Amino acid sequence: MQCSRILLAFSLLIVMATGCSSHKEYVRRPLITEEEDNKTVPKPKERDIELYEDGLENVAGRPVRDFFNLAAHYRKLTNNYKQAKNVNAMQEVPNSTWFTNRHGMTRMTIEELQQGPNRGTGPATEGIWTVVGAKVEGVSPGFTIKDIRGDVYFLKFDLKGYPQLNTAPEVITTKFVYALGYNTPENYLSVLDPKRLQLGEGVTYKNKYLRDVPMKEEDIQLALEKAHQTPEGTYRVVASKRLSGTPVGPFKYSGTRGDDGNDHVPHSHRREMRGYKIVAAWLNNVDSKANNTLDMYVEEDGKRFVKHYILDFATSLGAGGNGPASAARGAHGAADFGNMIFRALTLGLYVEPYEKKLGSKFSPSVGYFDSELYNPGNFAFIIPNPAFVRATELDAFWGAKLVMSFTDEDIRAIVETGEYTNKSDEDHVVQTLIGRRDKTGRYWFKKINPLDNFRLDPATNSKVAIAFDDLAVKYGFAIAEQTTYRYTLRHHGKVLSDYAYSRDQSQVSFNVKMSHAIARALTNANDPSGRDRIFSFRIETQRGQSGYKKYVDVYFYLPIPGSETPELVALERQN
Amino acid sequence: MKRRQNLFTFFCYILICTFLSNFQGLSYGQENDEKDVPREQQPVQDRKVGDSLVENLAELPGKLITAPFYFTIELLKLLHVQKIYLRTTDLLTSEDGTRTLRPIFSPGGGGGATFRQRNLLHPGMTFRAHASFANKTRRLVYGDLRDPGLFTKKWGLHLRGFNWRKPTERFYGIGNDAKEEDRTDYLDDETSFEGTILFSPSKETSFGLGFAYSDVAIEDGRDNGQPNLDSLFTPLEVPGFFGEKMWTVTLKFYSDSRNEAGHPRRGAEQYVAMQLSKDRDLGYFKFIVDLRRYFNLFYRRVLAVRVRTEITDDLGNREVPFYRLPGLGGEDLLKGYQSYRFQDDDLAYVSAEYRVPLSPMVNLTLFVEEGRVFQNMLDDFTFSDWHYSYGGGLRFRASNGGLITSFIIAKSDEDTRILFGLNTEIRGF
Repeated sequence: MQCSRILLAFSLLIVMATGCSSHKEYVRRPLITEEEDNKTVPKPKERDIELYEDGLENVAGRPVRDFFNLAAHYRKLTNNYKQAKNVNAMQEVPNSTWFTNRHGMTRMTIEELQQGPNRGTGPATEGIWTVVGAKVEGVSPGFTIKDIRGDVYFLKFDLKGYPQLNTAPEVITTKFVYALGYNTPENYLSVLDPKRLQLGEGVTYKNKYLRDVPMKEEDIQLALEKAHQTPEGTYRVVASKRLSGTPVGPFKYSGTRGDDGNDHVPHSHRREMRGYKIVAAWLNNVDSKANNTLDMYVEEDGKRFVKHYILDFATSLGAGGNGPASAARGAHGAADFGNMIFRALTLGLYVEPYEKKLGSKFSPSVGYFDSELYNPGNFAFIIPNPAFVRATELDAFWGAKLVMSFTDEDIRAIVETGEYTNKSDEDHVVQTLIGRRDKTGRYWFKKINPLDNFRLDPATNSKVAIAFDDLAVKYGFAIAEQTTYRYTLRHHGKVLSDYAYSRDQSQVSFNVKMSHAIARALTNANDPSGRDRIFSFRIETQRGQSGYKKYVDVYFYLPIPGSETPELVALERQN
Repeated sequence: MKRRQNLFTFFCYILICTFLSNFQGLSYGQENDEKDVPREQQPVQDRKVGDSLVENLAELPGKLITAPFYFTIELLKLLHVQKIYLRTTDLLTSEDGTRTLRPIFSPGGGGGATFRQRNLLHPGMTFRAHASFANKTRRLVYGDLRDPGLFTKKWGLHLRGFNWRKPTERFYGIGNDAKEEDRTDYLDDETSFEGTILFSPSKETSFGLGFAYSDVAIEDGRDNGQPNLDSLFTPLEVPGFFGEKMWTVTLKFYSDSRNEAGHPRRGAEQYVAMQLSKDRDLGYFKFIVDLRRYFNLFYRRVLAVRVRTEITDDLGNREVPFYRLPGLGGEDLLKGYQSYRFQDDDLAYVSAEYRVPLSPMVNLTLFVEEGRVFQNMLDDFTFSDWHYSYGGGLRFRASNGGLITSFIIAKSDEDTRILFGLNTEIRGF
């Protein structure tokens, strides 16, 4: 009896602590556009994250912990998920050592997109490349070389029999991910002539037992035997330029790094990390784990801090680690126990769509990469990524906006940098990315009211009119003529007006009744901070005959007439 | 009165809960330094992003339950288990990787080592030596030399010598109706030398001609809970009661057209052997046919079918030693029964297994099998009194298609057995 009472009280406590949502009172202040996490901090200790450590934590540890988390279950039941904790008042991500707003905020030119993170021309095409390190063991070999300019690159190859399969995705995905705002290495396509390769002095490599052993010429030959050789006897490589600064090990997609004084927000609660789920799914990059990231201790503008990079995209698009990707990619994770139990109980009689595609023919340069099976809402990664697991529909909407920022021309321009030999391969990758992009947008723009890019329209004679882009209409997923926006005016959380309607026009403004209501609301306005002069429009959207969907609250500051101009203050989206 | 007290207590709880959830200082994660300014308007580095006390409390049960798990991971990291394993392996492996020494530990409390030398005289020629010892004087010592390219790539040689001591072998009597309560145990101490010349006209097929000499000694079993062989049977009932030295000549044919070894989806495996074994008092001729076929039913759902028959004939007035009689039971044939549960001159066995891929690395397997032993199958064959076994389990597949682990539960009318195989087939398919 006593136990049940305590349990009941505890449950109530959780309900109240997690379920109480209060109205937010915004103040008028500049939008946060910089996170300022680049203050000088001491160099963190270099660390390794073992694959088994990351895998066990995310496959077994965290799911069990979450299962027994009553608050998380209550949040799920009430659709009151923990939202990203680093967004600004307009629900965007400020620039930081993790992310820089690029193409998603301000369109990059085709040249900039094709250039990506590259700031040079790649390794010197003349002179000797001296091998200063190597990865000889494993399926895919790699060398670290120094060119005659003294620049150091890590060379990655295509697997034997699969020209361009790994090198093209590495370059293409790098450019997409960079354009979206993430930090990536400079990856160049280059050609390795074995005659120009020279073994440096005292070079060692780690053998499969992790022992440093002296490298011999035969080791180079042995490694090259696994790589795809062109008829001319050369090798197409991706030369990944050594990042500036000192490597201090990978970052995790959860928690914070205790020895990095700038790391305040748990990584699984960073919107750019959560939203990367949508980007990675679009690019078929299933291997988004801690080991494919790197923290670098850098010095920029006289400040020393940690910068966070995402790397290793050689297994994105249609490429796999041991050869081409299969149709099963993205369908289920390595430990999807629910699906395994379902399949066992149904004795395998249910055939999943991807199974019907296994064994399909594909180009050896592309691998299996399609948009038909792609399910943007249910894309599975090999190992569950804690930030992706925490991603809410708002995070996904943000990620989808980034993905949709690429036009068909942008996509083709970037894919061209992968330099596929066959035009048909290039076309296939372009069309697939376009198809997957549209599926991504279509899916996530239905989940959230896709009104975005809010701006005050000055052409409305002392009245406030707020214009916006309806992303579903903008990208052709909905018809403007069949769309109606319903909105109310609010002040301090109270509704001031009846519904007003705006049909096939991406704009909301005051009507006469609203103006009267504003006048009444401002009668007692006396807060010197101007808080009393902040109003909001709650906008809902209807497509055709369907009901009104989730709302967007747009907060704006309404100045004393003639003194200042109105301005947007904040944005809230219903999850 | 009691009811009123309960109501009062409940009311107090609600009050406390309400108080706690609204107490500003307690749920610090949801509040801000700057009073009333939403988090989104504060500089990111100044935001408090931790969870509230209540949320931390709600996470506590999960944290407590997974604490041993995380402790284990930390311990693994601390001990550098992976590196210790790799370094040890490195120490026991020659620089060029052709010579290795591997320690072996068996769950029964035993241990030993295997030495392997690859490319002994020329590429492909492999020598292995193994010695392991376990409880109840169990031991296995063997040397094995394989050369797949003796003269040309089509000819090969396989030489093997071993001594094993199996202290708890089972014998239930001879016949299809042998009773479970007649179980006895014996010790089988055998030394054998074998040489086989192999001819492989194609990648899929090979023929072999083998010669073997074996010396078998039968003694009292070491399982204290079971009667010994001589307590229930006499030498007249059981040929080869004390063991024997024998020469054996084997002619065999093997064909393998499976698409992969560990988890075949199509193809077949066929084994046919004729064996002539002889000594002063004992001698027999044995004919073995073992056919396995794999059908890809639909989308990698596989039906595996197996038929095996063994026919043994006495040579003149010589008899077949009991330890060479075909037997049903164990990990190979009729998995739901104990090893050598049914033994007689002839044997017939059929099985069907359905396999479903649950994930790229895990397969579900369901099987049913039937078998019977006969004194003379060709004359007395019948479909009555067959023994059956059924069950299922999981097979874990390596990325290269090899088998890593099998876990199977098999049931028969006598027993339910759990079979676990690491890096080996649970024999059958």
